[in-house]
Amino acid sequence: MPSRFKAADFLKRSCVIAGFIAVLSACQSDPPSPEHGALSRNTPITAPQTMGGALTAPGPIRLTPQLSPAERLEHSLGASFFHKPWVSAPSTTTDRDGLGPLFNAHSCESCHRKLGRGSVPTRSTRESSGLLFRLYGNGAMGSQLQTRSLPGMDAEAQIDIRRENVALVREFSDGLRIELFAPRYTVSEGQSDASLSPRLAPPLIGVGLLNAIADDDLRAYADPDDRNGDGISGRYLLIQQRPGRFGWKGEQADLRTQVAKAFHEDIGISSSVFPLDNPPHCEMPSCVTIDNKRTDISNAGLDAVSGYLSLLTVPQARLSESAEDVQRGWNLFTRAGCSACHRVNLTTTTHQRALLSEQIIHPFSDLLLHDMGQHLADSADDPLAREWRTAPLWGLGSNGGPYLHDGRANTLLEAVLWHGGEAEAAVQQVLTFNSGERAALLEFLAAL
Amino acid sequence: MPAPKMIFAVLLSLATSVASAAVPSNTEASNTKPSTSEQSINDTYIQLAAAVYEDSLIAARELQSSVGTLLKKPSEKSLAKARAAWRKARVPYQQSETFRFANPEIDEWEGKLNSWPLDEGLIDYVADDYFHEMGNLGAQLNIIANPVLKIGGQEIDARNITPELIESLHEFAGSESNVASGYHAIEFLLWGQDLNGTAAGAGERPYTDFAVGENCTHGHCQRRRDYLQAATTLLVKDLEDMSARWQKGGDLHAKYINLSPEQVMTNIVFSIGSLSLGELAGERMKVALEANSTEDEHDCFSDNTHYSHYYNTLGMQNLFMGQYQRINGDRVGGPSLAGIAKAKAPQAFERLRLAMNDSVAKTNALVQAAEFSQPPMKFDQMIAEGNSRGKALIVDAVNALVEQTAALEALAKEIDVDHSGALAF
Ligand code: HEC
Ligand code: HEC
Repeated sequence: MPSRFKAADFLKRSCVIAGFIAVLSACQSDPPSPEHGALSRNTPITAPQTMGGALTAPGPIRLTPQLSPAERLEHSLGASFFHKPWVSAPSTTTDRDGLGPLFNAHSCESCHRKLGRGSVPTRSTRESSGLLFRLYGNGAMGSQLQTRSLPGMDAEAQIDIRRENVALVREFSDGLRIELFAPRYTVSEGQSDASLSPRLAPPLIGVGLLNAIADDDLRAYADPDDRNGDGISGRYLLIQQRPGRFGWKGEQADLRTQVAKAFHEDIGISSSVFPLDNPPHCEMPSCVTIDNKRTDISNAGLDAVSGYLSLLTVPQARLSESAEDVQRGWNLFTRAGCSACHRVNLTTTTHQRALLSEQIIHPFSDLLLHDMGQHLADSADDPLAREWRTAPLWGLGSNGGPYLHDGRANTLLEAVLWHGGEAEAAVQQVLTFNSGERAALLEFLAAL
Repeated sequence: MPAPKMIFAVLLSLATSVASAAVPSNTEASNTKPSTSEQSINDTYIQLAAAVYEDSLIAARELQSSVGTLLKKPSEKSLAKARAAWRKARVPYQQSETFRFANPEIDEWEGKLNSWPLDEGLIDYVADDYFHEMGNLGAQLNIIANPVLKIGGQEIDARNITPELIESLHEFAGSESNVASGYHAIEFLLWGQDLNGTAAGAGERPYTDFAVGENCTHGHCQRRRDYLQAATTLLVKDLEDMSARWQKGGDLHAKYINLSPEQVMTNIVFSIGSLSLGELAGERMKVALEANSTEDEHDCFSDNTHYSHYYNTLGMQNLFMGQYQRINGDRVGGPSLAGIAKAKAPQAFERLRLAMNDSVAKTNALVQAAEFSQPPMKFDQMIAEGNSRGKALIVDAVNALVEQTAALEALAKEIDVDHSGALAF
């Protein structure tokens, strides 16, 4: 990592130009030509606000109103399987049973509340929340800790959460000090030998669009060895020969597999993609007898859920509100180098669904993994521990916190100040901002 | 629940022009008095909600008394009476359901009463043959058989089955389908599992499941009796609460006194749109049909689903027309969205009026087939694979509701009522 932050490099990469109109029209080629680096500070944002192309809409995340009632009806199965709880087998409602025996929640909805971001428990995983723990290493408990179980058996473990230690103090040049509290996790029941990687349910914004970004685009954005010397690497995991893009660490490459994985790990619902009913770590005598021949959700069911999620609205940005501050914030955002990772423009490939096809979108993410420093690392020794996928920032204002992969940041400012590693230079820029500039940056983020 | 619980309550720029429009009177389908001021659409809303929840309460009290008789003297006859009372209790309640979609206050509350699917295996025994598949697990699942419940590392003392216990078990262990109370819990206790799949027949729980002493079947009869009693008591209590909230002094009464008429109209459109498309046509009919699930139906133990759908549909029409026929036959009603629509956009109004009539007719066709045809065809038989007549009946009802939604959205657009929320599932 270079010791000094070079603003010009960021500007070059991130195609920052005068306002969003220009962003839309001129910034589609990659890499952008150098002239686009000129940032005109005073051009007002006249706000296309079409964050997610044709799927952009104001209001809560929901199935896009672009569809007619009859077309929307086609998505009832997907909506139903996402929102309605699953129950234990045997049940009279045979199409919804198969829950568990170990699981984290009864439905997708219970973590992705109203399709938005999950909440963190105040004290322990006994509370219902959107937080789960993935596990490093190949321990007896598989790759995810299941904190729920059917009656009569034990859940794998419960985790207590404390947030009393100041892990990091950030100081602005004007003297403002912000103390940042890191959550601490202790196993309070059951046991876990592996190290824990806490993950908060992200809002399900534009996942169909992200799914429709060409693999080659991600390959082109990547710069694992920082050849261009801008201090920003950008990598991806290869998942069956494809660049990963879903989850906080980009561990899944396509939406349907991500959905199947969620069914399997989070709810205990098997499918053709993950056919084993019990995660392999199920050792209790009671679960070895469960019939594994049947999958709980059909391929049609998986397609239905993926199809439904693909056509959800992307919240419309409110960039024209109090335009001056927002405009200033946008300039500061780019000046600090945020858009080196929070990439503004992406274009989807051709897709059979017009709403997803060749859409210019503004997720504010390159979908790549970046070294975010020791403070955000989730394990002492794993090579992936410091790496996180650039969190998309679209819909940031309409979804609320808490932010970051484990929900440790209660405010947007905290979220920014936790950045380290490759983003440290950007944070150092932010620390030079005076209170007006800070407010403008935050206003901009909240308008997304 | 697929219906989003929030209203995207953006106020309409043309609200004032709506308010100043001359407001017409009668809709063809109703005998309601002409409206004189638009404000009174609020009053109608309150009046309808108060009446339908009070009716639900009255019917639930009757159910409670029948359950009392069943427990005092378990017999074929007393069980049949309790079942009939349950069916009657559903009539006003299903008509009330349309109110919940625009009111998060109701939506939160209603989970305790009407949640579905219900994890029946958590309440009482389920068919024996399943246990082979389940291994040891099956026997340990249910509350009725287990005075101490062990769930996700938590132990719950369930020695005394009381309304309080059942209430505390609602969504226990942080899981929203752990529903232990409400209509469907009571339904399951009265009927038992419907093991007939898509063939004829509902649940066949013997009355001896509630017998005391030696006649007790399936074990744990005392706990089952306690459970039924507690669940019924809780239902009555919850309905008392909701009913009071719509009376003068109640929070929902106050809410609707204070809302602008435009917002009331928005809420009506949102409610009807959500129930019509996402919930009833989608979740409760299309999903059931598509999944070909043996019984992915709403009132699955009792085979009462056809009525449930019909009264849902009627409830939507009530709300639009501003009228409701109470269980004692009285009619209540007043100025309505229909009245306003008819004056401002007669063609769009007429399209919706016809669509609503058609929806009521098509869900009524489900009732006719289920109750009065020879042999009767219940909803679970209609959705069976290969039943083309059954499928056609459901598809007709679904299509009618889709057209109703489209007509509603067109109307809302024309009279400048915000309908963005209704687009959601
Ligand atoms: C126990 C909480 C929980 C439940 C239940 C849950 N999720 Fe998630 N979801 C998460 C978390 C945490 C992540 C991030 C995972 C990671 O980083 O690996 C996630 C990620 C996702 C993503 C990727 C989003 C992105 O932007 O990368 C999708 C899509 C998704 N979930 C869909 C579903 C579906 C569909 C279901 C139901 C089958 C479901 N989830 C159930 C917690 C949950
Ligand atoms: C080196 C790449 C990089 C740079 C530069 C960067 N970010 Fe981030 N940003 C990330 C990653 C990765 C995450 C997710 C980290 C995590 O969850 O642990 C993230 C998360 C965020 C979040 C929280 C989003 C959420 O949904 O939780 C905000 C807000 C944010 N960044 C704003 C900024 C701002 C403002 C700047 C510029 C000052 C900036 N970022 C610079 C990579 C970067």
